[in-house]
Amino acid sequence: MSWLEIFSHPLVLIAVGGNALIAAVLALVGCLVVLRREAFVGDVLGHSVLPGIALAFVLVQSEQLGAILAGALGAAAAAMLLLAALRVEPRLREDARLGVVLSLFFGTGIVLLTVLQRHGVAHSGSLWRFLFGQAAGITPAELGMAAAIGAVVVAAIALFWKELQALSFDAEFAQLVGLPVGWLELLYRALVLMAVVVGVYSVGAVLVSAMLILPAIAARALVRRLPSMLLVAATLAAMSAVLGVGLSGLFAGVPTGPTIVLLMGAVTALVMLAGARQSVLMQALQRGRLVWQQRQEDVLKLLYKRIESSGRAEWSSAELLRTLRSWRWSAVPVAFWLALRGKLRYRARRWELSPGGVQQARQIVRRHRLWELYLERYVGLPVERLHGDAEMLEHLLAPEMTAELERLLGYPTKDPHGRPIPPED
Amino acid sequence: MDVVWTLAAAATLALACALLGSFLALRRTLLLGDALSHAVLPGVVLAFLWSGSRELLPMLLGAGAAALLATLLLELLQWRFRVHPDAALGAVLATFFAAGIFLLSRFAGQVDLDAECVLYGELAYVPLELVSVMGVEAPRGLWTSAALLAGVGLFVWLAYKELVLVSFDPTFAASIGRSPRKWSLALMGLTAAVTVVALELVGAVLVVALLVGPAAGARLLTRRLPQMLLVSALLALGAVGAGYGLAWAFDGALAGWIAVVAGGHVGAIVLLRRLRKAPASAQEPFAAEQDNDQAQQPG
Amino acid sequence: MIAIECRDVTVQYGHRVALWGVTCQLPAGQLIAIVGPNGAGKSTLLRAMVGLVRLSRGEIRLFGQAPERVRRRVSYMPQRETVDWDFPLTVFDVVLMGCYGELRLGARPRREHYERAQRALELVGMERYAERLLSELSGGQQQRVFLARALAQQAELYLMDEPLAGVDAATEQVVLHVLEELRRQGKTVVVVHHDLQTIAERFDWVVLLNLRLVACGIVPEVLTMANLHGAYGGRLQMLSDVAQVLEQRRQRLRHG
Repeated sequence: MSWLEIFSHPLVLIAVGGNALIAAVLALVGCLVVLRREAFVGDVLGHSVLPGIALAFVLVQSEQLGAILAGALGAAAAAMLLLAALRVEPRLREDARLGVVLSLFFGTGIVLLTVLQRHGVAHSGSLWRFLFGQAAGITPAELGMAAAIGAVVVAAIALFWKELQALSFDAEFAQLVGLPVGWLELLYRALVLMAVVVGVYSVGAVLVSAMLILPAIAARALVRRLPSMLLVAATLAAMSAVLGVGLSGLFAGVPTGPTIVLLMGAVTALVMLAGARQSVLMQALQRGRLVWQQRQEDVLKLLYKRIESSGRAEWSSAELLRTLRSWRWSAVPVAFWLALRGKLRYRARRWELSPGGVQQARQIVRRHRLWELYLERYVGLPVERLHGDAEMLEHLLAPEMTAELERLLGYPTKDPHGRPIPPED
Repeated sequence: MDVVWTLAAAATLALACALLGSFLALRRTLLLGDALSHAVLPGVVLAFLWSGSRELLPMLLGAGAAALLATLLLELLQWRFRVHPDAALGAVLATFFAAGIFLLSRFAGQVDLDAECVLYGELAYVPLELVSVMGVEAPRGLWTSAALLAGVGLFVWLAYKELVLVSFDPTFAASIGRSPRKWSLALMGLTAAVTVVALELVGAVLVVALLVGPAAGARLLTRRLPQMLLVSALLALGAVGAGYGLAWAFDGALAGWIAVVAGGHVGAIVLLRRLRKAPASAQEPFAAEQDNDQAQQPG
Repeated sequence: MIAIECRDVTVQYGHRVALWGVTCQLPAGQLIAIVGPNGAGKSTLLRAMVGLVRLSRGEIRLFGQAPERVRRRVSYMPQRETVDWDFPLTVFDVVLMGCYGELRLGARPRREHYERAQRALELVGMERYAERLLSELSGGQQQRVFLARALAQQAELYLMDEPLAGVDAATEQVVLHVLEELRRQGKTVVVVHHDLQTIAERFDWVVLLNLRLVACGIVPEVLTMANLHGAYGGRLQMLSDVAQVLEQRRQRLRHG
């Protein structure tokens, strides 16, 4: 079958659409979970649905959608309540608390599943799908359920995103401001429960927490504000799901659920490395830009001091090259750039600083010498250390700070080496 | 006889986990144990594929490599990218575990592990694989868990005071020349080793129960560290025994029942403590304030 | 004899400067106080002396050697908040830790160590509390346990970070008494403290710190109006302003 034939098959469409939808819903709720720093709670809740599903199966003797859903919701809700109840014991720290609930619920789930299996209850083998998901086998009924839950989740978040955001960032403040914190918490918990339960149908109980956490982390690294974060997370999640289903469909023996999770992990890693504002690449770029700017200032300063010491304001190409190379040979391309920007110009076969360049250079020298004076007077540094330390600090001063510095020093005219401090332009 | 073998293997594993878990609980790094138990899976599966057998050494190496990688990623996420520890743990845990499940499914035929084994281990099959070591014949599972217990026990016995020192006051420890970081890594390595052995016996998810349950219960029942270690060992044995009883009575995977008891008994202890505290009045803080007034002068 | 020598000690955390070019010599056998406003780097200096902090520049010598080589002779008492007081340990367990510096891996404390710990407890008036759990102690008692642990180390140089912060009057008396007893025995004691009155009355030397060294010497010479103004008067505001600009710029890099 060709690509087109595969992807227009209704079952495939349902699988793709269903998983994308579920992934998006989980990503939306996951943003809230990650903001509230409850990522691990999501993990525990995911594992906790298992006994509920098994019990539902025992009672109803089939995999009826409604029963399974109810069982999963009930179990997850019970786990949530137990977590809250265990808070009364201060000696049971958070990590222990989570581990206890996880063990109890998942252990019970495993017990029930294996009992059912041993007793050969009809179709019990397929209950295993709830552990690792059977993303490729989503039925139309399940798609409908996912869509319904998805609609509820999206509506709730769309209506109350401001309040939920306030609650996530600072619950105390939210309460002070008069938000109905109790109801909002309830809403949040309900959303998490619904998301977890729906996610089990895609990647299974064990991996559902990944769908909650990974897209949210990636989105957080890219954008700051909640609405954009929600959008980015949902998009990344849906994309990973579609790709995951596609890959598993094309290649035999590729399990859908884990593939989707791995793709989400890869996307997150990629985002961290390249795209995020905090990412390695971005930071390197920013640093490079700063360094380049500092190099320009250094060259201007160098030329200005040359003017001061020699009394001449223009040089031949050979002289200029010599001056630049005596400091750093990397100053040459910097000078080239300055020339392009018009700070340095070539007139009548001589090089000189343009008026704009002279002005900028003068201000830089002024800053540097003021800093040297400050370091000598107030920090008590020895004279030989002044230049280096001033060099380090001077590039960062904003113009207002220079004025303040001058005022503090009493409008001096000479730096510690006796050289004149240029006045402000 | 089979029963004895199974129980012995489970008991030795539980004891090792209780011992290690106690220290993890005090350091509040139990979740790290959970994360590692999930993270080692891809390493173990790859080792399987590479060595073609269930030999312990390649599995330990594979697990170690995976654990190391996971730790590096955790540090990167937390310190470089400012991701909250919670989320970082969850992300790394799930991604690695997904990789492991992926490999298992993809190479299902070539690997001796299957998904069920990963989830709840093969305690019941322990007696089936007998191995002769120095003339003594016993199940392989028992040999590995006994070796583990010996390793953990030796470590704790030798390094007891160092472990307590760096866990209680890392700053002071560093000031007298100890390295809290190295001990942290050592514990992490030990945890990884425990999870590898446990993976085979009780599965990746339920090893958490053995690490957390007895230690948490002992913490609630005791006041001093030596007693806590002892009680955690007793609770571990109790969990194995009770788990076995329940499995015998009601059927179901042994590891599952052990996890239920290991987790459930903590809840029971919390409940009991609540009921006992309700009528009680003056507790420790008040006693301390009284003594304050009678503070002695130095002698 | 010189107990501590600092030469151009500079500590930088990324763009933030905690200490800048501190140079001083502190004599042995004296009660020395380190004072300065908040964020002046007092704790950092102490930690640098124990070798817990990496120096960006300069060096520190204790008794003429690098801090790592004289660990046995130095005792460091950190601030109380650094510890989880809910640990299942008794008072005696903690005080005994003072002897751990001499014990190798696998070695158990011997009778002499137990006796040392016992004596240390008596010195701070806590021998009745030896079997008490940490969680049952008040703030002042916790501080005394820390002090006993430091005494159990039987060092020659004692570095203490805010031992008198937030303690009751009885504990304060005990601590000051112990400090003077240590001085009587010829030990050197360096204390980060905030109360100038106590320092003027009880201490011999003082180090006035505000990112850099303002003054260092015997109490009457150093605690002058000019010096105090220099330390607390905010003339180094410019430097911390720059640090702030740097930090903001770094923040903007990260978020902008």
